Amino acid sequence: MSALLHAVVEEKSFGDSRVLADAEISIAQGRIVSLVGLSGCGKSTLLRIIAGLERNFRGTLTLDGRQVRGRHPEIGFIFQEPRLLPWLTVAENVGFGAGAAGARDSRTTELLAAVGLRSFADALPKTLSGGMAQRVAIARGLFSRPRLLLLDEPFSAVDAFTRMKLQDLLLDLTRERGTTLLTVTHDLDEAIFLGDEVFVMSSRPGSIRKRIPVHLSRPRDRGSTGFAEIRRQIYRELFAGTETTDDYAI
Amino acid sequence: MSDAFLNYSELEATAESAAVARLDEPTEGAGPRARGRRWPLRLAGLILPVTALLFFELAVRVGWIPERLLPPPSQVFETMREMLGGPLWLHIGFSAGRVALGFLVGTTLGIAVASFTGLSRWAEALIEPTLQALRGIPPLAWAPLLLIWLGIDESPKIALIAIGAFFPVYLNLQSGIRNVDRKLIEVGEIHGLGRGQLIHRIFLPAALPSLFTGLRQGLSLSWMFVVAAELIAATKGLGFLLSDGRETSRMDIMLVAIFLLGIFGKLSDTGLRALERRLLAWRDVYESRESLAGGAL
Repeated sequence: MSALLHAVVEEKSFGDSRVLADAEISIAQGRIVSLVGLSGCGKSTLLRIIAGLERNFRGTLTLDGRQVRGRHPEIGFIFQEPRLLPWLTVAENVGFGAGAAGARDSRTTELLAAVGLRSFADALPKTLSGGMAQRVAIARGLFSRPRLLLLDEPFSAVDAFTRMKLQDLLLDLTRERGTTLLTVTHDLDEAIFLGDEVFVMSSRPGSIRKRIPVHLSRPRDRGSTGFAEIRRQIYRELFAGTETTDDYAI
Repeated sequence: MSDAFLNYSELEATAESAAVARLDEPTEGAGPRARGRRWPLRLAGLILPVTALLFFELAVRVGWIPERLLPPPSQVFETMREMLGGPLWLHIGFSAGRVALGFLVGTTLGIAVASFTGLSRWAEALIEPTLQALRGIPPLAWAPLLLIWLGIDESPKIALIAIGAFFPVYLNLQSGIRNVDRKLIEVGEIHGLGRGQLIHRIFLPAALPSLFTGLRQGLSLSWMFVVAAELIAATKGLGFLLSDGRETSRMDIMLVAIFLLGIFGKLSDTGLRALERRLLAWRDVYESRESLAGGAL
């Protein structure tokens, strides 16, 4: 199976501090990968490099075997916050990628129905709750039908109940489209619930330390023993070399 | 579809009804009761000016204030009524026309230069220091020079007003552009917008609130400078009425001019504010929430 995305970041620095060194990531078409790591390990930076938002780094990105420089139309991005443009209506935000005609695009209508916000098409973002706004952001991220969708801690700003709903929604929407997902998160349950694989990053400088496959059938049960076992495994990897490991190994 | 969707429509239903409940409320308060309570509040603003007018009327008639220092308000209104049948409209027209033209020239230049320096570091490095130095000069200081350069007809007046309107528009818009949220710019970048599209679809709408702040300041300065220009050299306009009234000791005419300047300054600002509210209805700010909370209080 050839990889859809292959990213090698030899080095990325902010000033004197090296954020990423020899971070290599490879994702097959249609797979879901969760990227976890301690805060400040550079996981968001890695995601932003793949998205083309950070251009100043040493390394190479290939999508489908072809080298990518800067922005690529087949890569979508969903931010930590909804980041809706406040002066546009919900429908205009979803169809932003298609310009002025975006609000009337059939894809907009379809996506708004899929995220359960059809009747809010003409509402302004200020009238939405946090969870609703993030649903609009998900719809916007899927509008251009990206082959690879990057998500930067997409549900960290909403409450636990809404988060689970949004995770289900994201899976529903992307499974039927076969979208490849790369999600940065520090919620281990989210990483396991979503991911076919969980990549654990080391810190300073950041690189991929371990790839943990998640062989659990979907829909996944967050309370199952298999789930807990993988959570324990990730936890051990995250804190490998620190004293916490011994405390945790019951 | 899965039950996740069922739950979504439930969520939507409750959220929707909440939103609808909010939307249903008129912008000026919640329901007839609130509106009924609001009117006395509006009229409250009239108490002070009406009392003052009555007091001065009485004070002049009784002789507490000598009539050569202050004509009674009734006489001022009588003068205004007489003048409205005559040349007053001409004076109003000239002042308003000068304000409109000067404001237009000043804001057009302000918007153009601010877009330039706000969006390009090079333009900023080149132009900004000079503009900051010029800003330190009170616009009125240019008046004598403008008279020599441009003669005593309309052009120096327009130029003075334009200088006055330029700086607030320029400064506010420039900082508005500079302060556009980086996060929103990234949304544009993610959608592959080029430079022109980024300016058109992200920078300009995001900087619109700052532009309006500048426009309103610029407009009020325009009225200020039209009076100054007309006091210095003019044969028409409300400012001319002021200096003419002083020379002919017609205090009632001076008060008519002052009263009308207040009225027209306020009217033009109200117009601009209405436009601002319309165009910036999307802002999630205290002002727009206030009217909703007003009903609950």
